[in-house]
Amino acid sequence: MSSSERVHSFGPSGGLAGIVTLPPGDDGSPGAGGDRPFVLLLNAGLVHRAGPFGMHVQLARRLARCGFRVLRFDQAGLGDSDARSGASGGEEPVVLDARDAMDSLRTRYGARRFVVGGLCSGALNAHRVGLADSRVVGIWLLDGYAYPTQTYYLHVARSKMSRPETWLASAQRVLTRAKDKLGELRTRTAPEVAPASAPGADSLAARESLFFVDWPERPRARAELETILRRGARVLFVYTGGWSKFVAEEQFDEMFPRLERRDQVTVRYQRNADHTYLSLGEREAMFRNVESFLRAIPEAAVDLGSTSATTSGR
Amino acid sequence: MRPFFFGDSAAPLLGVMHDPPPALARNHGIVLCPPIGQEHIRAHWALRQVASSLAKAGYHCLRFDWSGVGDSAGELEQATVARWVDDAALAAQELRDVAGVRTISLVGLRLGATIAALATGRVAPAALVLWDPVIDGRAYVAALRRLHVEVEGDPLRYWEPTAHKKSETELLGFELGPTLLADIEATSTSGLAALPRTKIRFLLSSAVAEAAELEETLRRCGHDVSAAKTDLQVSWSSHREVEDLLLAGDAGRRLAALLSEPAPSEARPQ
Repeated sequence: MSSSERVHSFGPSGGLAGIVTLPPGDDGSPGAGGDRPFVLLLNAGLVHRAGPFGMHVQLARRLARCGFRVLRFDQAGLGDSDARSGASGGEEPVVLDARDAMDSLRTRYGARRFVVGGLCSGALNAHRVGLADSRVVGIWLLDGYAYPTQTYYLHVARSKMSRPETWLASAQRVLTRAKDKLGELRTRTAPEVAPASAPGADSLAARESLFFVDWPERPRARAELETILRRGARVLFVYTGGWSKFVAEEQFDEMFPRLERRDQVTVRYQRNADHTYLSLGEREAMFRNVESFLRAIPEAAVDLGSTSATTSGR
Repeated sequence: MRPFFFGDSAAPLLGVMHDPPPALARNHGIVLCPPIGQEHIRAHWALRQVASSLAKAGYHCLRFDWSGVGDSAGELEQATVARWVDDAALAAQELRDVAGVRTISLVGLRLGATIAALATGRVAPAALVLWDPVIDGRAYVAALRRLHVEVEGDPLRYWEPTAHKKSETELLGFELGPTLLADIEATSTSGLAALPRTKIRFLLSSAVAEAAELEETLRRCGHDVSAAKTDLQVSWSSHREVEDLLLAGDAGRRLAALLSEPAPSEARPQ
């Protein structure tokens, strides 16, 4: 018996689009999913819900075979979702989108607990959603925030000494990152986006924030991460060799020494993987990391409290 | 924009309908046939823009994913070109049923254009638009292989140049499998020449000698052929651009112009 998939529209005027993958034999009824958290996959940059090289489709189907219900969806203005009109009330757009998704999954599937994952900008968005909504019992960040430390600088120095031919490549990497691929896309997109006032137009202003990865400063990242952990949520960081700011697992503890509830954090480093997991072997290893992480989340990881279950005062 | 699954419930295809404004609706539907693999990921946004643009011009538009591609059921390596031709015919029938239109045109991008060409005999479209088509499957697969090697050796992507592939049929982030690769290599647009007279349009982002040759061949065979250039700036063969998303540029406007010649059965509903 294979897993099944369903298309869902949700959010304002049903303008958000996503696909739910159900485990084999799961008819989608509220009780059938057990107490396992529902998994949400966020967009990576501007790539639609299928993910870079289609990885979200593969991951969703793999996790469903492991017994998890999974939603891959397009945030407002991306993929097959409409842009969100009106003010956000100060909330991050992704938080509004993820809450709409979670509310919809609660109604349709009885889901009460969620794990949210993403790559690059999707990683930061997973962090934001995990911070904003206490229904989230786990987040995973693929190439999430990283900060240079002693290990990082030593690694870079050793690498340059042993392989001078990599100096140019390193300089190119830094330049390329600084330019930010997603930012470049924004520049190319801008002339084609109709004015926000045009009927049915995608609002550039509303979408702009999705194009850049505005990583938080280290103290803020730490404080927010500890807030998420104090709530009992589990966090997985997977870094790749394609992400130039992270070079070894020990770097994480140098970034965040004496982190509160460190035992709830798992860190993995895949040196031979590139940023978007082009290599199927490295992608498979990442999938195994995510799968192990999900399986380790306790059946009742956190006290969900009231049904409103949000911490933002919404 | 309405996403939905259609076709065999055991192996459904993902479709997205773009409805025209009722006052402008034509009795004409357009099936947009996407590329496969990484080109499919790159083209998603452009095809959404094109579909929206054509819908605003009055066409009922259906975007869809091939079996084993995108959100449709199945694994890519288990797909076949014959199955994709079936998919194109199924999508055309779905559009006829859902939108209630009699006239259908096929617009295909890259390998999607090649498959649309292969499906032309079954769909009998009012027009077939080949957008940056893959003209020769063998050359296409060779280009994918070359691109993969270049990507694996890119110091911007990996710390060290390493052979990362699990198999010889892993290309640009997708496992295509030996059967499908052989299938694609055997694919070409040459069968178009033998079809009854068809309205065939080319939309090209750059001058391609093979496309010009095909255009001339089809014209000699009696088809109604013309071509237009789009300002879409895209390289299908640069390893530095394999993850750049396509933007539609003027493609929607160009396509609407190419399709605007009314087919005999096309008329606005009273």
